Amino acid sequence: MWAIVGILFIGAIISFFEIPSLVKKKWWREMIVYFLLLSIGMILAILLSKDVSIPAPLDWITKIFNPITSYFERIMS
Amino acid sequence: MMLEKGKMNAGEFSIIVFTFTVGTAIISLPALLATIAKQNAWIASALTIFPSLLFIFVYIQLISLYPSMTYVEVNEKILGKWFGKLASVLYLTYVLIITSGGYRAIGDFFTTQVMVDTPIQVIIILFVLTSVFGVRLGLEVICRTALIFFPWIILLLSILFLFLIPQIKLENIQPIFGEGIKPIISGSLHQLGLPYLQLIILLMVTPFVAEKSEMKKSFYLATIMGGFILTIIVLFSILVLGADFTSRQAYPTYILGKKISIGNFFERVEVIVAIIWVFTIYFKVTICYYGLTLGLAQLLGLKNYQILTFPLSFLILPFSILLLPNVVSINNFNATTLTPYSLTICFILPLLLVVVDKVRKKLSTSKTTNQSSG
Repeated sequence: MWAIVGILFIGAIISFFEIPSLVKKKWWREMIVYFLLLSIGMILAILLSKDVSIPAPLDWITKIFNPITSYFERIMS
Repeated sequence: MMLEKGKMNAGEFSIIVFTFTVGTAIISLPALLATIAKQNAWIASALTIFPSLLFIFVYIQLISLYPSMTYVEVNEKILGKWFGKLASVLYLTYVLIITSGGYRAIGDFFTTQVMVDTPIQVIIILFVLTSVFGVRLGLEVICRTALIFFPWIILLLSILFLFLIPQIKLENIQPIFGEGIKPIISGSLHQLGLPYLQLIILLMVTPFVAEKSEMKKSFYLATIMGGFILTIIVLFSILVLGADFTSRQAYPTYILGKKISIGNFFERVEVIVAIIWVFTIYFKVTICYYGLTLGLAQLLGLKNYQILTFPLSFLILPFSILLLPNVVSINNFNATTLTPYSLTICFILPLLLVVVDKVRKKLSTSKTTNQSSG
């Protein structure tokens, strides 16, 4: 619980300092990207703090490159 | 529109290339190579410098085609809007993985060797915060800082090498070529992805180097220098620790620091020696972080890249911990998938870019000459 509150709090503090200047300059595109990235990061951080098992990103890459890797290993051994 | 107004000169660029090459490889390379190539790991490491020059040749071709554009912009220029954006997304994913991998490497090192009871998150947060600071201040500040710390890196490296000379046992590297040539080539193949192909991330900063012709020379020279230092590190790990012991350690370079012992009073200097890779990894990840922020801003057409630093730190932090569950799987990834993956992103794609651009230019010139003659 406290971890989630802490993560949201830090996110809110950072946004509090960054957003006013964006609003003043009317940079809406930047603001959308900002909130998108921040929310993805915060969701990941919250899931991580709750010990939810998330598939490791590098495992997907390992799966994609598996044929090439095994071919390399075959010719090198 | 230029998002970055800072400039750096060729000397600063070569320091960046050097720290980038030494970077994370200095702690994880000796164990990886010694597992594959045994006592000949240092030959494998030295051999890898040659193919790496080929990669740099391709990168320099790309730089000379569009000297004032970063890699993300070049992608869009050559491949068109949508294919270019797709290639840039692939590239930025790679940069994100390398960045978080760098933080993870230093976090794993600190939590397993130096500060055992500290959670890894704390160490990664400290490093990310310092990087965020650097990235927000801009490229010029990062380069000047690298300039300040570079003599320290060299000094500490020379201390490490000098004081290890008494510990050398020459029989550790014998028999040379004892296992045949195949393990050596296999070892070099695995090393390609670890420092050398990652140099493509520097294509995000090359447009801001002031002296272009000097830069090309220093790109080659600094890579050779970095590769030379890595080779000496691998050589010393094998000479002092032996191939078998090196391959069983997670951080052989750190064990090398522990082995320093001069007259029973100059001992246990390993943490001082560890400052070498704290610096090199810091500059490497900061440049990667910078490239990621700038690349993302250019990909999405934003007016400012600094605004992305904090949200990206929120993304990188969990990502570096999620990346893979433990050190063993990271080493496994480095030993198997990293090389083919980086070869696709960092060699085949840029080569494709160069070829496409050359063909397109040739077609357009032949068309214009046809029109003018006919």
